[in-house]
Order: sequence, then structure tokens, then C-alpha cells
Amino acid sequence: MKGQTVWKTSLLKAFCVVTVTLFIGSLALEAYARGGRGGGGGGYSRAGAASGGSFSSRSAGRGATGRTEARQYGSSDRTASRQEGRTDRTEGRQDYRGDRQEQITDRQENRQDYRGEARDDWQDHYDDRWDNWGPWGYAAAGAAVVAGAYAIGSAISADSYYALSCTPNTVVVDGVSYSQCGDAWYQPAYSGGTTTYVVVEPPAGH
Amino acid sequence: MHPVIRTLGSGAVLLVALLATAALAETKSPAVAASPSSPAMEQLLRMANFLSKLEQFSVGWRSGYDVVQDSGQKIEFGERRDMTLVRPNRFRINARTSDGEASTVVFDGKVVTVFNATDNLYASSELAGDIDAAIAHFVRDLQMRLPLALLFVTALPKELEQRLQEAEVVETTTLAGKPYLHIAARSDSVDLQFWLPTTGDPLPHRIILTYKHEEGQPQYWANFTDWNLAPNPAASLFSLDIPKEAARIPFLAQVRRAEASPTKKGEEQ
Repeated sequence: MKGQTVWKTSLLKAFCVVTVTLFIGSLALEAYARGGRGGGGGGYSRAGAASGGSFSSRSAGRGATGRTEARQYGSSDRTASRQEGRTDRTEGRQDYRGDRQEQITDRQENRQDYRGEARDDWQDHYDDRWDNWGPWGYAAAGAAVVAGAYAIGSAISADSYYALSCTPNTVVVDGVSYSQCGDAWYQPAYSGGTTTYVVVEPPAGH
Repeated sequence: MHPVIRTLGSGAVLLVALLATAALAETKSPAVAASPSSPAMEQLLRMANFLSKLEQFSVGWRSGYDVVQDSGQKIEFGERRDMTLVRPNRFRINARTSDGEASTVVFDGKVVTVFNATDNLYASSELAGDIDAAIAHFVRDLQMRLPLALLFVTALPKELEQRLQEAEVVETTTLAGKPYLHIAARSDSVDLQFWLPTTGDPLPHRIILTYKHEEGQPQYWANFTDWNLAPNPAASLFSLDIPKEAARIPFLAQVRRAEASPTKKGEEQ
């Protein structure tokens, strides 16, 4: 009888030890997942107006009239970008794809203008903010969520990616790397100085 | 003359004078490029001309930058960068951020490649051109981060002349036992500070950029070390040894461009 009691006590102790170990382990794993890489826990944004080390800023200044157009373009984009970034970071999820598309179109036009000219025409289409890298607004932002998942076309930061509820499975299709987490597919891409993850349609055959 | 009329007359004259002064001030407010005859501007252009004419160099710098958080709290992050540049068309930058992430950017005259050793990912974009074109392509087209990009293009003198509205010498100061000229300059969107040696080659020792119109006026600073004007690097320095298991990824700007114009998909790759 006494032996049976001792056996039950030992079993109870073992159960408690295993339970506590599993609990602590799960906390550690969650902390690792949410902390991102390099001890980036705390949710501090690493990107901002000064991180580009540019000799210019997209914010409105008091410059020469000849630069007004470029400044207005940059300024409005930056303002929109920051507002989106803030909302996304605060609430995590709002659809900003429409605005993003407008910015993309703007930038694309700018790029095409630039490339269409010869290098020695530097002054002819001078943009005194060409060295200002611009993606920190959306690279760091979260993304839209539709029915609990990020919307197709949105980009999420590496920290958001590593905080996903599952461990993504990496698949290479036609030389392109994709990650799958549940029904969602992500394509890693470089933005600014870091890796960001674009929510995409499932690749062919998946 | 009636005292009231005299008083009104004096007031009118004063008002006209004030309005004229205000109008004059208004006409002066638009940006005017810093006078090339300014001693400070001369020093900056001397630096710019010197840098833009270098055939090759290597340099390292430690830097820090403020990021103003949503809460308004200002947090500083940092990184170490080492750059080797050989004109007309090769450069390599090794970077390690303060959280330990390591990355390399290489331009070999045909392709600009970024390799992130931490994530074992790389991306590349073909480009026919010189370093100026590659840097503009990298920063502007690919929307990638390359701090102090302007310092490394041959158009630096023109860029400074175009952007700077004023420049003044703050003082001569001693850093690590050597005398430097501390220069403060202003553009319409950034306040700049340079520390240039009072003697010898005009290579910047320290730079601070203040983004004065951004919330919280964040700063970027860089302290340069190990300027070498004859590194004579081996050709292999400009070819990346990317591990076979590393995955190739696109630049987000390319993905966005492909989304915006599906018919041109893959054009950049």
C-alpha cells in the first residue's frame, strides 16, 4: 500500500516536471519567434528617415522653386507612407495596396525617365533626392489582413514573417524561392537593407 | 500740421518700411546655392573634387542613425561598413548591422548583387554602366539602402553645388590628436556637418546628417577610418562566392514593377 502511494507521488512529480518544462519551453520558443533575429525584440522599428544616410530627405523643405515638383511628389508620398506605416505598425493590418500601387506607378515613371537619359545628362533631369532610398514606409510595415491572412500583394517585414503562427515551408519553383504557411504563400524579396516577404498566389503546381 | 495727421503720416511711413523689409526678406528666402567663394564651401568642393577623381580607394566607417518610433522615442541603431571602389565600374561593400546581420553588395561592371549571409539569400540586377549608374540604379531603381551614396559618385561636386545653400566653418578642432576643420552646411532638407583634415588629403573624417524636417529631427553619423587610396584589390574581390544552397530572391522594387506592368515581368532579372 505504502509502495503504491510512493509510486503515485513519483508519477505526480514527474508529471509536474514535464508540464513545467513544456510550459517554459513553449514560452522560450514563442519569445524566440517574436523576437526576430539578433535580439530585435521589443518591436522597435529599425528603419526611418535617417537610416538611409542620404544627403537629402523626402520631407518638404524650403528649396528652390525649380525643385517644387519633385518635392511635392516626394513629400506626399512620404507622408502617405509614414501614415500607412504607423497605422500598420499600430494595428498591424490595414489594406493600403491601392495607395501602394500609386506610389509604384510614380516611382516607375521616375525610373523610366531616368533611364531614358544618358549619364552625362545628369543635370538635365536632376532630382536632388535621387539618393534618398524610399521604401522604409512599407518595408517595415505590416500588411492587410483578409479573413485572418495577409492580402495578396502585401509585403510584411522579416519580424512579422518570423512571428507567423507556423514555421513556413520553403519551396523552390523554377528557381524562385517561396515559403508556405498554411494556405498563404510568401516570396522573399530585398527591400531597403533587409529581406521582406511579399504575399503571393501559390506558385504553379501548388 | 495737425498732430494727429503727423502721427498717422509717421505710422504710414513706418508701415511701408516694414512691408518693404518683409518683401525684401521674402525675395531672399528661396534657396541660394552656397557661394563658391565661401571658405567652407571651397573646402567642401575640394573634398568633393578629390573624392570624385580618385581612381580607387578603400575605407571603413562606423555609423549610427536615429529611428523615431511611433511612441516618439528615439532609438539609435548602428553598423560597420567597409567599401572598396575601383573606377570606373567596380565596388564592394561589406556591412554588418548592430543586430549582427551581415550583407555584401558587389558591382562587377555588369551586375550588382546583394548577398545576405545571415539569411543565405541573394539578389542581383544586370546593369551596363559605371559606378555612378550602378549606385543610382541600386538606390533609386531598386530602392536599396546605401548610406552616403552621394560620396561615391563622380558627380559629387555638382551635387554639392546644387544642393548646398550655405556652408560655414564652425571651428578648428582636434580629434584623436589631429586637427580638423568642422564645417556646417545646409541644404533645403538636410543639415550637414563635416570634419575635414586641416592638412593633407581632404578625406572626410566624420559626417553628421540631420533630417531637420523629419519628425524628431533624426541624425545619421559616420566616423571614417582606414582610408587607403591604393588598395589595389585582386579582381576576385568583385566576384561573390555565393554558397550553392543560397536562394536567389528578387528586389521588392522589381516585384512591384512586375505587378504594375505584368507584360514586362522578368525584364529586370
